[in-house]
Amino acid sequence: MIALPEIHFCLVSALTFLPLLGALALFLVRADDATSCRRIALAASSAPILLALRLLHDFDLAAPGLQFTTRVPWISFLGIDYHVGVDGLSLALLLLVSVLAPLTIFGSVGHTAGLDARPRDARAFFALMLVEQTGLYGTFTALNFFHWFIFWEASLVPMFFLVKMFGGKGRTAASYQFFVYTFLGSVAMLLGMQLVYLATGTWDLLDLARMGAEIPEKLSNFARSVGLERFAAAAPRTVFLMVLIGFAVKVPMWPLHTWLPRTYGQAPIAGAILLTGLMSKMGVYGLLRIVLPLFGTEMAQLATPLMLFALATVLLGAWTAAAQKDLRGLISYSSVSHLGYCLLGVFAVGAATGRFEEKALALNGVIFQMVAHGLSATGLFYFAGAIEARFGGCDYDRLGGLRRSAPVFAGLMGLLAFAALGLPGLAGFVGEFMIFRGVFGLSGAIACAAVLGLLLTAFYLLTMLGKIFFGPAIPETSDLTLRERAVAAALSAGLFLFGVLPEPLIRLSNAAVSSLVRRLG
Amino acid sequence: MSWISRNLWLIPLLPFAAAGITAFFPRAWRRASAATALAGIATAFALSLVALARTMSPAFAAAGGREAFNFAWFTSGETTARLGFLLDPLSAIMLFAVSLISLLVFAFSVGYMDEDDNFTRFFCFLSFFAGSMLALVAANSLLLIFVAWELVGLSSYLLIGFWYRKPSAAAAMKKAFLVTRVGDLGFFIGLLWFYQGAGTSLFYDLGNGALEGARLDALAGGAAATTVALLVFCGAAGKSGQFPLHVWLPDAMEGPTPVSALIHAATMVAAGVFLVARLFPVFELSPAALHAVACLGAFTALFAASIALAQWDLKRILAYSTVSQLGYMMLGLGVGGVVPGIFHLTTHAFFKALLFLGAGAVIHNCHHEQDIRRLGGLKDRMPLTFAAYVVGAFALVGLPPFSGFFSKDEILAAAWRYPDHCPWWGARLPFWAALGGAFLTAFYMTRQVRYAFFGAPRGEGAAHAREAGRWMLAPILILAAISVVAGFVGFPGANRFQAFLHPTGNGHGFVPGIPLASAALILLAIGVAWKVYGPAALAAGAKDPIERRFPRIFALLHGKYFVDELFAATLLRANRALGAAGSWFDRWILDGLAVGGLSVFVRALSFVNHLLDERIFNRGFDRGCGALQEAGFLNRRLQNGLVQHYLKVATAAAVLLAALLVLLTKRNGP
Repeated sequence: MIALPEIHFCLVSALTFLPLLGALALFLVRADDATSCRRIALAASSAPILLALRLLHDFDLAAPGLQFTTRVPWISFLGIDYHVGVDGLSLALLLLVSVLAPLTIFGSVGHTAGLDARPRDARAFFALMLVEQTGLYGTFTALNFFHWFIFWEASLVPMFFLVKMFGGKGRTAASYQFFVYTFLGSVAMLLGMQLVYLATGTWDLLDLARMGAEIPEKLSNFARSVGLERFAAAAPRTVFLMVLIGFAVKVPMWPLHTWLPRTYGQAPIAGAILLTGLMSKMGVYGLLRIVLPLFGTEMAQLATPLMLFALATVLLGAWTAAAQKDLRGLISYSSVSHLGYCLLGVFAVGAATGRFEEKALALNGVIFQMVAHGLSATGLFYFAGAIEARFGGCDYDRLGGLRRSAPVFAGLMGLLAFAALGLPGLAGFVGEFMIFRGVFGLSGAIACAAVLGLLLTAFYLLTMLGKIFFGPAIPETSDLTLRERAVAAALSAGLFLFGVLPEPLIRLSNAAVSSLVRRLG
Repeated sequence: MSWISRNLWLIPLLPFAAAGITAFFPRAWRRASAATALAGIATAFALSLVALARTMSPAFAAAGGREAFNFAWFTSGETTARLGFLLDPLSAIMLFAVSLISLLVFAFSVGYMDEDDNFTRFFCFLSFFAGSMLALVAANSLLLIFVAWELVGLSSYLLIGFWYRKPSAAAAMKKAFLVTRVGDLGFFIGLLWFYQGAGTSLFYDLGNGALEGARLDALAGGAAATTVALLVFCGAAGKSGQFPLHVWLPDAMEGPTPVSALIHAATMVAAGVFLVARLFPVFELSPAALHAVACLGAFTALFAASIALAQWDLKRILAYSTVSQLGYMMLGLGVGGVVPGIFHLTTHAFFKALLFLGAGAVIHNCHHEQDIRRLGGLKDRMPLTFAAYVVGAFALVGLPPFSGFFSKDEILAAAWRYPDHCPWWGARLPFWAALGGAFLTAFYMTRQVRYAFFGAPRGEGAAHAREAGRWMLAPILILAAISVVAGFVGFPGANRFQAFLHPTGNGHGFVPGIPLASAALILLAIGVAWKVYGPAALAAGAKDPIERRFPRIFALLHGKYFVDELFAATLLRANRALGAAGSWFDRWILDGLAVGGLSVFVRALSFVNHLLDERIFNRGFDRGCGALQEAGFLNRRLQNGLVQHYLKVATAAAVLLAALLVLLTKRNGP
């Protein structure tokens, strides 16, 4: 490797803003030239992979702290810095974005991109995808709440337009509901964090994490200092819940999930992939980066109800998935249910009691599960798009026996479904096993109840496979195109690799997770 | 450590590799696919022989009777999760049996699947199964067993649904995976509990494994051993078709017959029995758990045997027979320990594979006719298959000196002595249930053989049947030979099997009355059945004599005691209702009432805003517009107004907050 230590200074920023530059470059070509637009977008979207690989190469796996940090004063009188960096909590997600975003753009042809209905807006579509990628990178690297929040919200806007412009028949209502719902959650979080700032005098997430246990005290003091004596005792919990709501909507956690099926159902496939594969991880990441370090005490007090909510997310999500009549609905609720395991892991770790090893296992499992779910849900949504493009919809009524005319499709879809239902040998199992093994030591009864989710997941996924691929062949269809095979093969390879050899992925997060757990005590 | 112990992982890897390679073969590469699969399993068999030889060498016994090869899988926190492979007499005998039967069934399949379009894929799936099953029996870690356990479940799913276009096959594949997964939930919790309690998932690790020394003692405390044993037994009961999770196994007969022979008779379904045997040190700590194993096994043995009396499908009779025999194995484990259970597992694997392959030969050569009412007269048309089938049937019913006699007898003897060390009023019941099961087994096998091979052909297929080809016949004859002689390794009094598998145990002694009594009972059953299913019953169009005499009992047995219907009316219905309730709640309460209510509120605000705009600020702006236009405009305003209005409020709020923020910071001062 060339010795360029100073590159570390701007590596993360370059990574973040490269896609945005690409979005600007798109205006060099005609708006309806989908092929050129896709090429430029693909180049801009995959360029960060090289930087991410460099980052991975130079990343010190044994160091728990932030690396590749940049800190420049921005609005100093408000304590706002431009502060970015990467650690074990974010590295795996950063790599996930670097792989999934270009892969999605690569696969964005015709119906997948919603371009069959609006062929003249190809440029807008790819520009929005690239802006979204920047928003995602920014969210996973920002360390100052202020501009972290800017990225968090910025990732909402392109998605709103992606749904609004390129979605299905009910796209308008869906995009508004999506925007308003998640924005409301974000506003609650913003208000909460403003109170934290007023109480502590800093926006910096690292400084706040260092204060950790003192934050509730400071919040109470702040309430007293502005004359709200009676609010002082309840202040920490109120602020905690406000911040939590922002993340709980994004993940989403039952019962704040109803925006999701509608949005996923109407979004263009490429948008739905970014939503489920990457944006849902923003919520979990926020819980790891902000809620756990800042509100550990509050979380410990509410651990049991929170775990029950996570349990409801797992089980009700799965039951509702089983009742869906089309593939998109199924994947949407399946996504809710799968991220429920992540919530379960985080909330179980938030409980005050428990041994270090179990907490570390659960948190490493949460990060592992995010990657595994990112890969498998991306594949499932991509295939839902492939089915819609062939049959004009993905409700079960019009499908059946596809394995006969499309055996490769059936095989790869089966692999992705089995990855989602946690088949050992594929990545989903490792994540779920780690979470369950950790949560079992922390809260046995809830872990045992959540195990039912494994059965329900198998139930709805096998039902889906049966309805679409087995039985008598109803429609004849063409098998996967080369492009579709390439996307599915890349995802399958990742799922298989991490399923058999999880160590490289776990090693990315282990040091940071261990240090986070130690700080929680 | 010997070479083979360090490289035991090669045995599962070779079939896995064959599966991986053949997965990429195009459909037309039929011979290449079969050759690759056969090469993989043959090499695995050769290595299994090396492993078996190693366990029989004196040096091995001197080294403690087991060699484990462990490796790290991943590290989280400061703990490393390790997996491993284990060579001991139990794994060696299982590796030997599984790889040998797999090899024979692979060869049989070359003939049986000859005309199938998906021949290439079939060998890919078979190899995948063989690899998973070999990994399961060679694993030195409960976690690794679980991994392999799920993989054999997947291969079973794929192979049951091999003819996926048949709706019945598509239903059966799903049912098999889900019903076994019900048991696996228990297994999974048991795995977590075991891991937690012992602090490792390894069985043997130079004194630090979960099944040895201090860590086993840690499990012995409190109720941990009983809980873990019973939870793991849930998984074993699912895979090994114990009541009430047996419902998937008969349906699994939708798969091609070689699959039924290999997976759903000889090997995979015995995985549950193997699991209990592997974890026997834990089960031994808990008399209650062993008791549950024995009772459920005995009940299943009798229960399934009675269902087999009233089935018409050649393969389903054998399937219920398998369920029943698995019950015997569980009973053997419960009352007599590892040796009787595993001995019966081994002999059963050979003779049941033989019976299924024989049935396969019949089905293949009778134009896929499986209904025994439309077979008949095959003993003259397929004499070699008939002879081999009868050997298998004799071994199954336990007629001396066929292999089933020795292994079943050891279970009966252990069950007879069970009350000696289990003082309980019902401790004699398992023995009587097993004896009753033996009677029924002889009865239904005689019925089946009479219907299929005797009398005149009653169907088109049977009338034109001819002897099977050599790819099919050779494995059948080899299995027949093994079924005759295999029992002698467990000859009472000079039990080589006992000495090999459990050298420190003292066996259960020899109770001379039991073999005599059971042999007499079996002969009686054969005689009665021979008489009942005489020429009159075998005439075309005749009703089954039992059905004629006891129509209600026959209907109950033929309907399999309606366990499926019971599940459909309770669990499946509840599951569907919960799904519907979840959807309803989302749609009408969460989305409708809460979000919808909020949105109506905001819309009302926006309407007020609109009125203000229109009447006060924009008065007269749209006076000239037509009513229709106005309505459209209003509508659009309402829809867009939601966000615009919201953004306005949000911006105003943000400005206010920022102002507050600045003021407060100034006041507090940095």
